[in-house]
Amino acid sequence: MTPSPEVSTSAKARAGITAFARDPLAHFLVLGGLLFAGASALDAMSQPVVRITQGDVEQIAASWQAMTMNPPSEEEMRGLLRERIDEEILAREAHRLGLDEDDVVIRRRLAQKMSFISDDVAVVMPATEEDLLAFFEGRKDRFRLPERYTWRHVVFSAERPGDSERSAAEAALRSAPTGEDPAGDPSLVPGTFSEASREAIAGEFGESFYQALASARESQWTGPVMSPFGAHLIRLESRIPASEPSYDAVREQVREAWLSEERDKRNSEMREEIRRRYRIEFDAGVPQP
Amino acid sequence: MKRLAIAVSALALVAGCAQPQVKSVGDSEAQAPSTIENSMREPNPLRDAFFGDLHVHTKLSFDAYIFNVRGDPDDAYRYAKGATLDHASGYQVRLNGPPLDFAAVTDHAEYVGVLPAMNDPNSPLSKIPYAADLFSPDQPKIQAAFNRVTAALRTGTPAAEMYDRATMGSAWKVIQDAAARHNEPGKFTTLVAYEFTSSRDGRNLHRNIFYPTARVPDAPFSAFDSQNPEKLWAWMDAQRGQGIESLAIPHNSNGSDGIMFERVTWDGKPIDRAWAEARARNEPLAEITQIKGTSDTHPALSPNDEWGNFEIMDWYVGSDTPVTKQAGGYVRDALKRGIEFEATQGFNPYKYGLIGSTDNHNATPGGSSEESSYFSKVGRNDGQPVQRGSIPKEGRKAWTPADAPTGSAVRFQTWGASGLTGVWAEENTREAIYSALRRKETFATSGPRIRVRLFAGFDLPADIASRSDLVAQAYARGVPMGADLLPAPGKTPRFLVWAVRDPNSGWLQRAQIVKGWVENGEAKEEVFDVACSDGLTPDPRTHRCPDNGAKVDLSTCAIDSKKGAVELKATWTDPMFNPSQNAFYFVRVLENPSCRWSTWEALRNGSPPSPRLSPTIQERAWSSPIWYDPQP
Repeated sequence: MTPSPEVSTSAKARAGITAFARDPLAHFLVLGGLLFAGASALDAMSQPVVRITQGDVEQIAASWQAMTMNPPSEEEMRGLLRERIDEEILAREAHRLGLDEDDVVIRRRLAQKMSFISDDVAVVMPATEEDLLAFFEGRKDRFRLPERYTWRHVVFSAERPGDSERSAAEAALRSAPTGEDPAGDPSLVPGTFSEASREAIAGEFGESFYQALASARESQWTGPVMSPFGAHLIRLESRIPASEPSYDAVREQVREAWLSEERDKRNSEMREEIRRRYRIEFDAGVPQP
Repeated sequence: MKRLAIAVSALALVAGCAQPQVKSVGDSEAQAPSTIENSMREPNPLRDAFFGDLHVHTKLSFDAYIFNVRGDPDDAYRYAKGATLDHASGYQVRLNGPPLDFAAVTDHAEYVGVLPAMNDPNSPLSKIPYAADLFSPDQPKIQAAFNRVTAALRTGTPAAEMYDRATMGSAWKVIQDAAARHNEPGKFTTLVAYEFTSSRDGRNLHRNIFYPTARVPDAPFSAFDSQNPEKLWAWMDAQRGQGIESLAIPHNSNGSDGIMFERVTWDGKPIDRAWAEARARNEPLAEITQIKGTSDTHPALSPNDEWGNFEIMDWYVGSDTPVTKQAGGYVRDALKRGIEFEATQGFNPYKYGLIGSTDNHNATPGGSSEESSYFSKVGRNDGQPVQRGSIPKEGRKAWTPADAPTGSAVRFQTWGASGLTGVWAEENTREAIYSALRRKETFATSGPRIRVRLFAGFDLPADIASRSDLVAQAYARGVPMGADLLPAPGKTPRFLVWAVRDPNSGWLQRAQIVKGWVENGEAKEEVFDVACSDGLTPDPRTHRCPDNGAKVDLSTCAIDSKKGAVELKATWTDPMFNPSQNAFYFVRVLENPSCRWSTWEALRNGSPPSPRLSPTIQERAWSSPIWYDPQP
């Protein structure tokens, strides 16, 4: 389409117009050109936009200040904005080229985001009283209270000479007037325990001491039973058997447990729903998880 | 799939106001479970010892969360009651001994709950630019981002983008709710509490603040409100005026580089009576021992105390800066300064009762205070022996020059498996335990549940130690630890010292009285052995028990069960008592030597103990002091 240099402009114009009117190739080329220009204009309208908001600027400034203890200068701000724009453009381009697809860090982060989404969904409607009651009835063993022991003791200190604490305990048990408590040595260990668990008793006095107490007859002084503190005479007041508490007594715990179970249930339903959309295939010899 | 779509759009709607997950929908006054009312035993007017941990962090603390700790306040209280918990380094942990009697979660108020929110993609806080770095798998990136977080704590100026009051408010509520849920009068006591994480140029001024009831301020007063503890006391006073009682307990004075117990105010002015009273009113107690070292005393301050070199931590907190000033940074020194003030000016800002705790950041109250099952304190940063310098690197079984600890391990190796708080209280309830803290009838231990009592009186019977009603006599005719002994002209006070070992720990070697007194305006100190094990008696000239010969087998960590005492009990009179001198007296009970945690770890690894560390320690307990003031 380069006009011939030797043709005068006006002559070219005249000739051109005439020629244009007659030349289908010229028609094609001009129309094509218009189309191309139009397409470019359309393209410009759909060009991806990176918008920097006032909020972004404030956030960038705040995080700069957190790092350096000073607000960014104008020049620093321009640099930070350039960095932010570059980061955004490069990230999008990397995404467009599929660079994120085999990146393990990105994959994990996405999976984590997805699981946060599904976990959040599982924040369920508040339980009704019927829900909680049914939940409690179905899982009474979970709210079971372990066996507990209310007991008293006197101790004959291991600091007594030789092994005389044992014989002193035996003598005290024999000589205690009926209906009265035997007298032991003063002790820094508490004399009374109320509804103590096995962990609390065995944890301090030893397992064999706990066994002796757990099998003792109620409301009767007996012993000596040995512990690291010395020789004990013990009196089991009552053995509170493992029990199932009433619903009212544990309603708060029930509600907590219900909520946590319900959340887990919704979570796994959600995962299952997602999982169903995929077919998982295994190479031969790969163990099935 | 439709459900998911709905879910996601619902999520988009709430994303703008997402908050950290709250575990329960229950209200904060939730009823404690079952049979409580009828299971309470009668209160014991002569008081029993209860053990607890008053310094524990959970994932709500900014640092614990970075350490990969995910246990929350509920988990912490469950652990204290004996439950098993997952450690951030991937193993399980559980208390060795019986459950604790009480515990308080003390998360850092600064940014409380903010880090978990930053790791929640649905929270706007996750959009903070460095949030991604904080939770990346890249350790240097984490450290760089974390340094920005801690920089705010050094300056006291929060980063605006992290200082989200709504998030911190919900975390404060989570803490209160968990305490309410787990408080079981008669069985287990919780206290609502938090840590005021202040420092001055990196010098540690941290305090924990405790509340006796569920009535607490809307928001804690944090180091972002002011780094100046004087402002904290003023705020506590104002709260008290509105009926919200509280007390503060400073800790890690060893990392304060001498500024925790200064002789001047924040502005460098001389301390006056009003200042001293404000401090004493708000800070009745000091934490004398924890994992980051013991703040009783330092060899530089107590050169004549053969046991003063115990688990010394000579670093700034969370930094590699060495401490250069011990005076003003140790509790015994503070007690001495206090009586100097009393003697010369008539007021005492440093009249501290003593407690111990762990400062564990693993949501494990009482955890890691036992040498044989130590797991240190900062999650995955020190969760393995090699990270804390107790075993050679790269699986080696012998120490080579290349095995010298580097980085944080240099500091971690100096940390200790410590401590617990003991209180003498009528019963295990919030009211009784808080009252014991208030009247300083408390003691500290380096981990073992050693029980120790101390009484003093001018009229204690000479034979009190052998009487069957000794405690009743002691209360009737004397005063317990934490109290004042009033002058009685012409008389000399008698002291009753009594301790019993922890059956899960070693045997007792000796009980001592540490005395501080003022002579010509200057405080002095001396350590007196007052009860010896194995039938031995203190030398009246040296005030020392003869060596009882107890040994540790370093190839097995076995201790000698034939040496030492189950119980030590003695009366004592001060051979140097001068009724015109201000004085304090506290008890220190020492166990026989036993393996330090680092030796247990070397043993399990099949390598020799680190040549840089003491292979053994002497576990101990400290009573609160009794003060004598000639002019009360």
